[in-house]
Amino acid sequence: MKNSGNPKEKMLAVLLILLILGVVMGAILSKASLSYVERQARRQGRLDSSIVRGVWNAFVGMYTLGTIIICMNLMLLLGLLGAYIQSYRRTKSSFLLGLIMFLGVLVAQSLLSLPILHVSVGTVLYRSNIFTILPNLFETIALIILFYLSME
Amino acid sequence: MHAVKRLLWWLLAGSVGGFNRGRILEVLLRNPSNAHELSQVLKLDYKTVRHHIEVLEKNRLITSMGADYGKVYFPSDLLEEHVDYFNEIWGKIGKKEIRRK
Repeated sequence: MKNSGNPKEKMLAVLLILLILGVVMGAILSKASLSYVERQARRQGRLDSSIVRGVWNAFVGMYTLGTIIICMNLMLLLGLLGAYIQSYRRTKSSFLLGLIMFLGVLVAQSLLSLPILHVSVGTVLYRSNIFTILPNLFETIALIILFYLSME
Repeated sequence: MHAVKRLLWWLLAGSVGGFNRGRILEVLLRNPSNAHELSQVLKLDYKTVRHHIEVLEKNRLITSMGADYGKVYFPSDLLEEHVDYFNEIWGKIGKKEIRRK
């Protein structure tokens, strides 16, 4: 069981891959859902006025950014969950079971805060301003710290 | 939960390299060694050993004497004082890991 390579470099590589996967997943998810909503709105002639157009553009920006940040969080959470489940299967420690449940709740929280869910329930519920996405951004920072400590 | 017990749970079970850290502590509790000796005894890559030593040292579980490559590592007073916690946790997780391998 000889391990090669620097563990820190490996950890940074995995972290980077997870973040990139999150960005790609978020971009695809927001692009697909937005193009559907935009098609519907155009057909109904709702995007004709320039004021509505401006509001729409601001909404698109925040919606995309929000989805990307939450997808990054989801990927980090899934990476952590994978590592903890693997360790739990090896050790059967109740400490790890607690950590798995903790992460499971956070996965549910992230899924529930995805903008696509808010929009599918009713656009009014998703507030497209910076304060909607700021808490998720702080969650990303917190998860990066937890990821670093867990992979050490 | 006692602070040192929580720290040991985290460093041995809560993070990915925990099992190898447990093996390093197990060796050092029996016999203080340098990084090269540890990598030979545990059949681990030298860089991996150095990484785990760094983590254990910055968490004050081991201390060192000497300089550079000859630096000898041994259990800190903190670990010696709470060695029962280490044995308890390592007894739960270490044996299962070894049986699996």
